[in-house]
Amino acid sequence: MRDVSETNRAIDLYADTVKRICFLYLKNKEDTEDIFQNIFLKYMTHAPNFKNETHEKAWFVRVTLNSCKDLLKSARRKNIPLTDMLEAADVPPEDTGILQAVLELEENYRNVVYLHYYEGYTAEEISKLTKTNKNTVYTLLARARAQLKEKLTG
Amino acid sequence: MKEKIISAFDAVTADEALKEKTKEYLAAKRRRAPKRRPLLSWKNAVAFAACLLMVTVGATGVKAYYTETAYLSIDINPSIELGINRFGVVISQTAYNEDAQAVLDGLNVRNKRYAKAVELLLESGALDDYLSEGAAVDFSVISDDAAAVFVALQETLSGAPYAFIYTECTMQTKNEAHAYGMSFGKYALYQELYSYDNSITVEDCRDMSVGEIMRTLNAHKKSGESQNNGGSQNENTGTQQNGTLEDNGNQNGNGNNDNNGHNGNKKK
Repeated sequence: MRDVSETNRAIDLYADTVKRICFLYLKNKEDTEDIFQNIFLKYMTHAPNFKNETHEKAWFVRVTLNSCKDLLKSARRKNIPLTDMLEAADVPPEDTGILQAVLELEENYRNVVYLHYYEGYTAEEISKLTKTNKNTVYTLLARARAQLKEKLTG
Repeated sequence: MKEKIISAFDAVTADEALKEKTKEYLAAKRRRAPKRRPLLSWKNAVAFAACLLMVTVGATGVKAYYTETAYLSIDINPSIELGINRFGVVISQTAYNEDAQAVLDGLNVRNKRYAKAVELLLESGALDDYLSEGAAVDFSVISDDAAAVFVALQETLSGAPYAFIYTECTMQTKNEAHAYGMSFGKYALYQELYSYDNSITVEDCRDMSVGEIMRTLNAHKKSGESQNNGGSQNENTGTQQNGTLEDNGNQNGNGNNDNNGHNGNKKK
């Protein structure tokens, strides 16, 4: 079991990443809290030893993505309107448009857009993180980009 | 578009309340978590170490028990060799002629202290046929402390009505004796006899009883004759002969009584 200082460091370092991935998937605050607690509990008790911070961050990204998907599959969730979510997240008005556009994409597109554009992962890295074929990642990225353009300009 | 996405997601952050709540949640979980037991508690570790020590000591002890550190050859006509461990306990018994085999077939002296083993052998009745008048019993010893063995045997056998000869031997004598299929006690007597009469052979000696050998030896000593040029005695053996032999009319020609009352011609 990892000690307090180690888990607190991880929370300070990866809380925003976990929150952003939750934001991509979850439509209410309670689910985000649940995921938060589960992810860091898993980190405290069962996570492997990491070679470096990149490896550690990739673990958080992968585990958060899977936890969110599992949570959505597990039961009917109480969804709140997207606009309320954006308000709840304290997103400045000038950023709500692009965020709304991303969140309106299909799940696969949302993932690759976030992982590629925000986290800076390459298609190959995304394919490993999400266990998806690399060419599929390229396709998803291309389609997501096209849909975003359409939404933002349309 | 990339910059816009980055800027927009930058705005999504985990607020401090969420972080604190998570930290509190983990702290509560940590308090409730059962403390992981070490693979070995100190008590178990001590017990484990003690067991290991016992096994090691036990294995060493077993090895020591079954390692021969001294040998006793008992020869009358039957020739018996006993292997003795460092604790003075007999761990092997070997017959070197048919008479001895017949005795050992009905008698097991293993795991007995050597003095007790000798006592059992002599008192079993199995040797009675060979302990008639004029008989002599030779005790040959290979040991770091042969003197102690002799003393122990003398104490055990005091008052017995037959002659005892005590001989200290070497491993070389034992190895040579075994090459001839003979006990090292009888072989040592043969060597001594050969030093007076070099026409005598191992085969001649093999069928002679200890009493016969001793009488022949005494005859040589008495007459002062030596058929061996120079008459030198064998350097590998030395014998102490019990006065009982004299009592039985088989007088030892040496005639020098040592402090134990034995005629001594023991050579070192």
